Amino acid sequence: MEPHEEAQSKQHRAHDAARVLRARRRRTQVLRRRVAAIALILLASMWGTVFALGSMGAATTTLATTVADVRTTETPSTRTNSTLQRNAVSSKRATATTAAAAENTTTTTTTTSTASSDTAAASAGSAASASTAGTDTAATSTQSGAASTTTAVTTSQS
Amino acid sequence: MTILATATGSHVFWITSRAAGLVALILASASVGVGVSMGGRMFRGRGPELKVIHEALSIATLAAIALHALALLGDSYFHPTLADLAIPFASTYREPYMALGIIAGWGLLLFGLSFYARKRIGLARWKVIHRFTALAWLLGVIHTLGEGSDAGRTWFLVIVATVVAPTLVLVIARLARRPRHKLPAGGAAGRTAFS
Repeated sequence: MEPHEEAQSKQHRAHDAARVLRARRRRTQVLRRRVAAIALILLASMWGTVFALGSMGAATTTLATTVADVRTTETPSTRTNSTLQRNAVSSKRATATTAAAAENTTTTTTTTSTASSDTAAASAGSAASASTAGTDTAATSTQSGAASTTTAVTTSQS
Repeated sequence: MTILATATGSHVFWITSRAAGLVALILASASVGVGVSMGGRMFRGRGPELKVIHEALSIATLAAIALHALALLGDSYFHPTLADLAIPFASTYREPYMALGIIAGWGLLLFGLSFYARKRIGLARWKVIHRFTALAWLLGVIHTLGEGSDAGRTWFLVIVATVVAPTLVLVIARLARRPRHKLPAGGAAGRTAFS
């Protein structure tokens, strides 16, 4: 092989190697972008699924506002036993969802019935707290239940 | 958009966290599955592509885990501190599943990112460390089933089973294959499962 042919061949091989590297880099970028896109699509679809089918999903606007008020009324000082209270709020959510679905009346009536459901659920929560966590926690839960009732009634008045 | 915002109210962070947790589980399962397939050389000739997918899935998993935890900071009911979300057993909420989730998160972060320090650690040692990612993933599955707000619901269990079962089969198959690859004494370290 002539010296200039050898140089050409070497140059050709270098070009090929560079082209292969470029193609591999491009392929890597495409795969990364695809995974990122799939992750984002998954997040959006899971958000929708949790919103629609989750434990407090399919909530009406009134219901969401009422439960939100119950959640925000409780201060850290009333949260002495977070597990019991979370369970109590979950049962409130479930009761309120059932009540809201059953009631096919005006917005004010729905809110008021939700408030009474909340009171019942809060009382149940207090009873549970009294049986498991002692008198102090029971008193706290009762206060919390009273606060949530007040908030819900205020919402219905407004 | 306004209707959605009004309907979700203050639950937007709570829903986001749960959705991100589910996404993290799906991505982690896929990542572990791909990793085990690579280690077991189940798809010959697809090594470089699988490596890129495995890496991208792992990073996406870590991002989803970060979103899962950080979104909780905005939840007005739970209102946890950063310590509650980062230190196992710091919070009293649904223990021990909360702690298992935190340990799983840290495990996936450390064992996953150890890839970038493999030259410093040494390839054989890194392979031993990296296989514990599967254990962290398993802790994440237990956290999901034990603590998930929708854990008893059919749609949730269907999603979890769909993503976890194939990966679990791959992990078990990989572990079952392990004894057949007995290496000579001294060469076994780091060439065991998932390597």
